[in-house]
Amino acid sequence: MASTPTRAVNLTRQLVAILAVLPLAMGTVRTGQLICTLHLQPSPASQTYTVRLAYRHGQRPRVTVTGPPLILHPGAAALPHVYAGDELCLYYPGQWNDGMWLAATVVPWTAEWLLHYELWLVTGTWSGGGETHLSPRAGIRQGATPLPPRTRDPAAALQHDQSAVELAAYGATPEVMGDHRR
Amino acid sequence: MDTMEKMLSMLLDGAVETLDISPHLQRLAIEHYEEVGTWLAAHGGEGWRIYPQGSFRLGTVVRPNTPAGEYDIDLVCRLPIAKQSITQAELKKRVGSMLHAYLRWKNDQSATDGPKTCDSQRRCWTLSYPDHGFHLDVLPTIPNTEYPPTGILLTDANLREWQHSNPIGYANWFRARSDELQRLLADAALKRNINVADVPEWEIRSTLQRVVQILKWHCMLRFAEDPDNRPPSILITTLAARAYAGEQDLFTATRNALNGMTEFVEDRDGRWWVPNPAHEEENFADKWNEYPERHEAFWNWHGDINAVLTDLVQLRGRGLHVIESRMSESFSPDAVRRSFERYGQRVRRQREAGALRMGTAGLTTTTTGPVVRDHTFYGQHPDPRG
Repeated sequence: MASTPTRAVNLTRQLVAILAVLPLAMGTVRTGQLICTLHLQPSPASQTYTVRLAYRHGQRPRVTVTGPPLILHPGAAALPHVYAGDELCLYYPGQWNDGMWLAATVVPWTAEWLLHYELWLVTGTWSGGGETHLSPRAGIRQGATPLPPRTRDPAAALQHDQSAVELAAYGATPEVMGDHRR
Repeated sequence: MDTMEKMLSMLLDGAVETLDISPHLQRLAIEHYEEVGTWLAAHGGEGWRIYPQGSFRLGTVVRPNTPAGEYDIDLVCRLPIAKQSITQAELKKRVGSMLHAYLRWKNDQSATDGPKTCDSQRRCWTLSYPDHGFHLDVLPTIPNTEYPPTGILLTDANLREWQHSNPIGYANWFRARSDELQRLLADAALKRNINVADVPEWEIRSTLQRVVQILKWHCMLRFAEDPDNRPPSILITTLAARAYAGEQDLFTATRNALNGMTEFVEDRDGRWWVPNPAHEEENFADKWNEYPERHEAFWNWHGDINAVLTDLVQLRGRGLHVIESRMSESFSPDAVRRSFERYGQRVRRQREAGALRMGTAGLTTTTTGPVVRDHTFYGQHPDPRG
């Protein structure tokens, strides 16, 4: 198994932080993998989506919607901002790393994706902004894993600290979570 | 957006906003009628005065669903003449000749911004500005000395008696129905360091004004093919403002106004009666007594819009696309779609500004929860079409 970056957030802590935001989420940490089922309703008008989040240190968090089935805007051939297998593309390579809290990044980004998805069904235009995949010549194959950075620069470290501050706002600092560990 | 009602308020507000008269067009219309007013005062005689009335004055204008979509701007032209000294026909003619003289004067100057035509209607003269997308309906009037200072008498080609009206009194009553409207006017006055009385209602959009716009909008579409039975805007405006109880959530305010307005339709000795709040003798529901089918049409419309609002709130949790589809069935699809687009753009800007948060009920800008960190959706083309 690839070595874990020293500042990577422990998977159980990741799960506890997710539960602090979404008390109805269910998850397990087994053999170095976090698997979590979330129920996300991005707005009161929106559907409640069941989302599977699978994550291993050193790999990108994989987010898929397991229900209700995602549909297409009339005239569209594919969903916007997804990898192969309709795995959601939530961030630009480098915007996420193992030192960040999923609960403060990937989880709300997923909710946001779902909101823009419903609006895309209405308008046919993606209102959430974003970048399209680089061409294969640029080194990243469509559907391939954008590699998370193995080393953390000062900016990334700062982002990690910000995540902690944001989580602290609802009482889920890493210290507090330690007490909650089952 | 914490509740379905707030969400629907935001989406309806965004949709009706697209039917609002634009500030540019509003300024242009004001410039034009002020020029007419100045010219009439200089050439018609001392004391001729022009001022706006109706939805333009109240700030409840809705773009008509006619092919041209021209805004109606209703103006009062008040001449300081006693009722005994002039007949209705003379008054109509005198104002008409001056407006025609104004039109000629503009043409003589080779001005391109003058009205294209000046036509007589049943109660008013219409100056058309087809290039600008509006027309001015100028209503010839004289003071009604029995109802000073704002009561007026107007002409009607089909009626022998002078008709009573009081648009300024009505606007004052309308303003008094909403504390929020008064507060917004006071804020605007303070900001510009002028008197509250000098801030016109049409510059403000309070919840009450939006409620009226939504009701008028739905009514306009509902009666697109049946204009004779369409309830008059003044009747809807009056009933909505009477029933309005100060709610600031648009959706809730609209529902409550609809439910409450039934109380304000009076039965006076077997005659339907909705008094003009600024002139009790005038009955806005008078036509219902003459044409019972119009009474029926009003309540059918009332039932329809109530059903739409009930449907919308019951679609909670069914998806924004489902809400949009239901809303588009009853309101103009273009305006509804535009509102949903704007919502998406706003969510994006909120996230970029760090104002979007994650709550247990979804994304929000109000509750405390983790701020949604800015990021960039990545992936295949955002508009993948086959």
